[in-house]
Amino acid sequence: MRHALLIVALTMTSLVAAAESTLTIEEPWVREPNPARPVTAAYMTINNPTDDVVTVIGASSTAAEVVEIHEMKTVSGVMKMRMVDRLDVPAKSTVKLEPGGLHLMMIRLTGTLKDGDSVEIELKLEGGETMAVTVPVKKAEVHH
Amino acid sequence: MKASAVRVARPSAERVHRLHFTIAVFVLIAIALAGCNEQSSEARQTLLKVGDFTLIDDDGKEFHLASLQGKPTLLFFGYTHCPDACPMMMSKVSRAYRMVGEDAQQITTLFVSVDVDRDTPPVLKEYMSYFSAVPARGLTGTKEQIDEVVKKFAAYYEINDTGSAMGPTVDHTVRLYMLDRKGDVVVLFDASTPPEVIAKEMRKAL
Repeated sequence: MRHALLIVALTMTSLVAAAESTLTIEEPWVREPNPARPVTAAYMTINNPTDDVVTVIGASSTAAEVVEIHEMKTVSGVMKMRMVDRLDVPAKSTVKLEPGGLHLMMIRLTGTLKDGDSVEIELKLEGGETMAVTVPVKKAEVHH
Repeated sequence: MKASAVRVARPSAERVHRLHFTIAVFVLIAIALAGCNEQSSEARQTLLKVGDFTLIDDDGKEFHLASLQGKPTLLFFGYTHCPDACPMMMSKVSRAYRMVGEDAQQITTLFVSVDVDRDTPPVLKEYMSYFSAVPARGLTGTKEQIDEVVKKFAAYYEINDTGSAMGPTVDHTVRLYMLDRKGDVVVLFDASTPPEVIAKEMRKAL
């Protein structure tokens, strides 16, 4: 009986540990897409409070067929956008996905998204962990 | 009881002179101020002379820039698959229109697509209709026509296949051009310009 209880306790602990994601996400939002184009961008602030680097290697969402990590860079006045395979969030630091910089591109949206809706985006981390984020859809440009 | 007579203040000759003098001074000041205003709007340098150009609008019809002469115009280059810079620019422009109010409706915003393969007139029409506060038109054309316009505006674009599921991405300069009533570029805004500044320039141009 005691063994059983111990096993249950250990399982519960490990479940809780798995549920406790290593990253914290702040102010996530998805730009309301133009109905003419089923593509939009998701932004958020990713915080890594741990002592080790955490790497985002992809993302997925039921709201889009494909989610990719993209980075915008302005080079000599020309804005370039490139797909990025991995996003390192260094130990004890924050990475911001914001307009003009990094974003999650949501490609071939599966439905219409309007201001006030929300979508679930799952971040895939190196090491196998996934992290679900609830992201509200917003029409206006967010002013910082 | 006699009603007290209304005293008619008969101005003395001196007072009349002083009055005329004061009026004259006011008139001179008014003229001077008006002159100053005219000077400040004429003093706006022409940054680029782009002349006329021909493209295809979102109704599939031929469009000539010269048709907008007599009113100020806003113009920028982009493409509809752009998830970030172009929606951001249009959203800023929309905000600026709302700040200026009814008068802003005289200003047309032109969205010139540098992605001629994917941005056909019907696509552009639907894309522009999303920005309901703005009298905007999408423009496209042949690659040659677009390249000519891009050159006139000293802009740049490059289509790249980066392996994205979205398809080709287009690198492009992110600038908003304001043309005056004559059709010359007089103001340049970039991606960081806040809507308040755009609105201020729009009011000045009207």
